Amino acid sequence: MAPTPLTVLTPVPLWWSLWVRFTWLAAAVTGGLVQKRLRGLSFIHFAHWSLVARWPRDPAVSADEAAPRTLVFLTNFDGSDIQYIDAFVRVVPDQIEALYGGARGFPGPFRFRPVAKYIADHSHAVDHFYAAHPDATTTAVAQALELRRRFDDFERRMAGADDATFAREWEQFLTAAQDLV
Amino acid sequence: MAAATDAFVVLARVRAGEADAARAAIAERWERPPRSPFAAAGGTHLARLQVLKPPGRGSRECVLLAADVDAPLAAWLERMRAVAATALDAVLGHCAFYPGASDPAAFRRWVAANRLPVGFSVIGSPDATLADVGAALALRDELGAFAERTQRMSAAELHTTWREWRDA
Repeated sequence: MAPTPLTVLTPVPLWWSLWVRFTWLAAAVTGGLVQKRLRGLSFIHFAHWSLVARWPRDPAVSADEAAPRTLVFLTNFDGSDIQYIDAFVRVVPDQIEALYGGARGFPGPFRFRPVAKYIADHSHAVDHFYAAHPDATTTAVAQALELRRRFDDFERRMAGADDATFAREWEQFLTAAQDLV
Repeated sequence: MAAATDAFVVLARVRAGEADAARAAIAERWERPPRSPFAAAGGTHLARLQVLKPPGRGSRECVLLAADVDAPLAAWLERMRAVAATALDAVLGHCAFYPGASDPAAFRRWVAANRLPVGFSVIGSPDATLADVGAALALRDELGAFAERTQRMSAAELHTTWREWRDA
């Protein structure tokens, strides 16, 4: 099943946009600790947050005074958006609060239904979506990469091995990697 | 270590009254062909193209083009410009001041003016290029097939079959 794309635009006041920038700075300083926790959800291919302070950004185009500062969330994930939001609410409510706590109309991160409605109200249909490996889940990709790393190591070690050694090591390799194959 | 991928996000305002034409161009030039123009550029992991309306009453519609691509981004953008010029022009041609993809320098300037910096990212496999992912998935399949067909072989047969597979 191909990943699901989600585009969510959330209006935020100036003070909150400053706070959000601060949290990103803090996340960068912690050397990826926040990302690690979110990556642990294991169904996110890519997720990006950006801030738009001026619509459009191009200074050659007159500013759109009707469009407020906006937190842009672009993500691709395995499964349905319901599963995705549910996991966020259960696993990383603090991170959601840190990003969306001051967003206009945000109902708080702790209850699934209001968050799901909020996201539905602020999401935008993707007209065209492309995935290079549409059938590969995030977990499948991570496992395949880990398998390749172990396999490369195995192949290096087996250069010049005799038949008996190879057969023994092959069995051990397969046993250790069976969850990845 | 530098990340193997870069994020690319462009948000550009659509000229007044041309949002439906931009959507139609996406349907015609990006959705309808059997192969997405994003695939033609090479190094595109995931990408999206959409026309959206910013929050706020009376705000004007924009085109959002976003992609996660093999680093470096500049090389991917140039490939994209070269191989998907017609498809890009069909959609971005409805955006303000878009110069067209035929002039590389003007195209790069327009992209830079409309590019949205990414503040925070979570990436499933941040160290893997598209080729790494493709090779790993292919190896997994080959390895599974090899393991299946070599069950119950003697040590000598197994080793010979292995060499044949790896030398092929």
